[in-house]
Amino acid sequence: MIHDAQYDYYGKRLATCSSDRSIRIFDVDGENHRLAETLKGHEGPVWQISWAHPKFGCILASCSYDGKVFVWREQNGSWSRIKEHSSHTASVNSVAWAPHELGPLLACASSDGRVSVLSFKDDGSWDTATLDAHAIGCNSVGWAPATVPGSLTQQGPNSGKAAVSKRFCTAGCDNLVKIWAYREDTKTWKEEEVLEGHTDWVRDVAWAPNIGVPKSYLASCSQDKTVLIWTQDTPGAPWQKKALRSEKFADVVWRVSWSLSGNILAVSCGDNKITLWKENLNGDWECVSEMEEKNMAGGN
Amino acid sequence: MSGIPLIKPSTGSAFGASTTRRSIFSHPTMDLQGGGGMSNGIKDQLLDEDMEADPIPTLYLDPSPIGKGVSVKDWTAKNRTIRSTFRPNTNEVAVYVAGKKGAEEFPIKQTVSQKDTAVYLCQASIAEIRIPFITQMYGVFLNTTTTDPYKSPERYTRYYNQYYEGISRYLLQLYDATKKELESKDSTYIVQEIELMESVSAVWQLAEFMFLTPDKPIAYLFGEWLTAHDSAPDVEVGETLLRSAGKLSHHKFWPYIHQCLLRGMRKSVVFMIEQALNDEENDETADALDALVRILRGIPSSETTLPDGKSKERHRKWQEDCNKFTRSSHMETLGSDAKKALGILTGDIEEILELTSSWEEAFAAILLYTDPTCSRHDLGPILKICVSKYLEGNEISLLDRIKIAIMEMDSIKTIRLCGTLDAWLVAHLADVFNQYGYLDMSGIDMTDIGSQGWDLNIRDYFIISYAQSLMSDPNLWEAIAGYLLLCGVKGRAMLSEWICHVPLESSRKAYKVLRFCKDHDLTDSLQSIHRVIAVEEEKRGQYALAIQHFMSSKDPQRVAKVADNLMQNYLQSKAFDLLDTVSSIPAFHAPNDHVDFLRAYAKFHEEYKSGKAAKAGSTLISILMTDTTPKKYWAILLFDALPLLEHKTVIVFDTNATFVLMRALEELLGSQNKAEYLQLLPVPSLSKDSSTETVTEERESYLNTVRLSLVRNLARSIVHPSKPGSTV
Repeated sequence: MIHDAQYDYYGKRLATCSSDRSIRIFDVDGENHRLAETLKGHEGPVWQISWAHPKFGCILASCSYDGKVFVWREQNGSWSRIKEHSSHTASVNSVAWAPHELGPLLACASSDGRVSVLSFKDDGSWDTATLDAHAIGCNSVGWAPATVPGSLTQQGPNSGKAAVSKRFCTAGCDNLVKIWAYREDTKTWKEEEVLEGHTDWVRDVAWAPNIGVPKSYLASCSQDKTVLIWTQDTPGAPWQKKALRSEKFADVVWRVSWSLSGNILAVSCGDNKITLWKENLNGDWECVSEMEEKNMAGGN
Repeated sequence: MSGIPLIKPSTGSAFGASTTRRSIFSHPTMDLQGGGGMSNGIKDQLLDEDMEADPIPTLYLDPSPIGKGVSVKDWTAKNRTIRSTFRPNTNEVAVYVAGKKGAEEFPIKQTVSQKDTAVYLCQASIAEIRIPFITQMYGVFLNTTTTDPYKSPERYTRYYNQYYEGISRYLLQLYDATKKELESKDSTYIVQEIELMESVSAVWQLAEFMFLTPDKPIAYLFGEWLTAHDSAPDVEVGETLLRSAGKLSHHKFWPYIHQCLLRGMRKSVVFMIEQALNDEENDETADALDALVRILRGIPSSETTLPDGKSKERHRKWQEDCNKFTRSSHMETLGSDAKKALGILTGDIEEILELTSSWEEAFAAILLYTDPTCSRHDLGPILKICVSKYLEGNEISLLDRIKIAIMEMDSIKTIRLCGTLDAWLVAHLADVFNQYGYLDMSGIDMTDIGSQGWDLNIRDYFIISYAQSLMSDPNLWEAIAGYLLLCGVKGRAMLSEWICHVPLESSRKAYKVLRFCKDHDLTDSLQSIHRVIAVEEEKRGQYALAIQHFMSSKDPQRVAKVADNLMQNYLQSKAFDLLDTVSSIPAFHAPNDHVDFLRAYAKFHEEYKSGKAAKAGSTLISILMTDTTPKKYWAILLFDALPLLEHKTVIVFDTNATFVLMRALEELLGSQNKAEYLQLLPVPSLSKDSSTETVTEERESYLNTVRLSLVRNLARSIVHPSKPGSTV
């Protein structure tokens, strides 16, 4: 079965990864779709995939239960594995490419509790920074938008002058969400914030795209059947949490993801429902759409 | 407050989905069940804020990923659930069957069926028939939103009127399509679209009459609006009556008269009664009808309001005449139906409520006959009477709630409710309201909103939402971008990211997208798109184009890399004209050392090829002496100098020029970066496995030949100390 599906930058390709250890890439064009490639090489279920920005070429990263991260590249119509990262000692659960402004950086989160950040260089080599992130295991990693919140407002959006932020967040089996920031002076990643709020394993965390306001938004979901929205009014201000909804979800919440425009949150719950949420003008989150499998309606 | 449905479930057919062609997309169709229609499906209790929550549109994966005979419970217990992912440039989602267990307890062996690999593509496709409306209205939006209604009222009104004209045109197109599409699968969609657009049309015009047309009495305008959107009485009834012999005794005569009166159709009533009068043989009845006609002819026009309360006085006097008529013997003669008609004319609310069939009709009639000059702000009591009579205790449709909000002149509530009806309507109405100052929130206590960091612009919120609803159609990118551009910082921020995701299927489209970014100072996006195109061009071997785009993306390092590739390609194959290639790089870009070098080098080669040895030599020396020429190109230049140094008849390089060449040679060979500087020289016939040192040594041997030649040329130039180019 499929563990992750990700559209490429233009939404014209869909990559899926499965428990059959494979990655499939489909060309999707309107109502037409075509299986373009099947990538094999992992020795366990493939948990997650992530497309790099097209300015780095047609590049896909994958991570697996086998503890490995592969980087795949398509050139002249054919796919090849160009990198293999195998320094983790347990399942690698999540991979995410950084915003393109930061260069080709790949963050990988593993059940060994560590997060590795791979930094690819022009000559084909890469550096690896490894962080002890969460004691029992790390389930998810997500990057902050490259531009510092509010800098768009001050400089005028898209002025080419917005300040750059190099941060990512992680979700762990220690019930915590952590934020990591890169320190240019020491050239190291430093734990910047520890967000406490969940009462069980945090399954996924996602940073909302920057939509031009000084506020940062982070969503996390957990085994405790809740989704928390973390907000920071201005850079450096304390993070505040708010439950997406007052009552718990019916089951474990596995996945949270933001739309590109940053104002819609998709929540995948173990009760076989996908719900889409939007913040209204009152600052409240409201469910604007639901998707579920057909038999649910009939109570089968 | 109601949200904007992301994937609007107005029709089942709006959900395009891929057909079954490959295994994982086994049955990727979407089925909307019980999602609630748009204009008539969302109902709640009137005027109860707490009851304004709208049902959440729900989509069902159809057919189910769960096999026949398997319960949801069993399916879930066998490690299955569903997950989703967003399409980056739209708000569409892909939903797929996923493993329910985490990595820590995931079974090593998992049985998988074909249903477990299904991906449901939920695409909110926009119906083709709506596209012209969308693009035309975008043009109207650009004009209206950039015009100040107070500074240029006439121009604004001209632009603004195009909205209603556009809605009416689209409705005509839909009516026309209904006739053609009766048998097709699109017919359901068209019927629903007509219903929606009729609601939009009614809301738009009512809002226009209430909020934007203050110079005309609302009693008159409301009547006009009612006639336009709820046509009654039936024209056929009128025609039947005209053809009938005994009009007055016809059972539909008085009901027709009542309806015409309720709708303020004075001329029709007068005409019909005159016809009855002409037929009438009974003198007493004829006298009564004649008196009634005089009363009816005297109805004061509600179209304009006279100053100093004259209209009110005129209406009062006319009603006195009506009252006199009701007390006259004519009333006895004409009977109870005529009495009802007089009840309407004298503004008998009970009578009017008895005869009307909707709250709007009752409202129009009560307003017209009780207070035709009533101000827009004083409509509350009449509205309450009509709403209580017709809507109390019933479920109230969204459309009715919107109309009532408009009649209450509650602009914020109107916009909030319109947000549930249609994304186009709310975006454009909010824009117009905003320009007239109807969305000023400064007086409203919403401190909690302020703390959210939003800049509290309702107009922007709904226009952005509308732009997002268009994103599923990439052909509408210009309209989407245009709307976002005019939505403040948030809109621009969204635009800057979104426009980078617009697929660039052709160079023409790429050019248009780049032009848009350039014209609107979307610097980050412009550079990002240039960079992506550059990578593509480089992949295709289009080095000149790649250089252009890398230069535009302000990436000198990549320009240098591609320039090197271009040079290497040229030196190895010479299969293309370097001058032509380099000439295609426009000169308007910021100077770049590598590109400047390429231009000069191409010129040198051109001169050399055309036999202009002296000129070529001079160009070569000037390139070498230019500080910005990257040192890695010196080796090539020295190598290229060889045939000129060995020229049989001409001394191309004089003593000074030869010294320049010699200094360059020594600087290269004496440098610790020698290997790097010599790397562009042709690779000698060594095996691929040769070490770096061996390759460098072999390349250096090429330059030793140059050294010998330089020494010889130095001697010649000393012996013949003439100007470069002189013959020996």
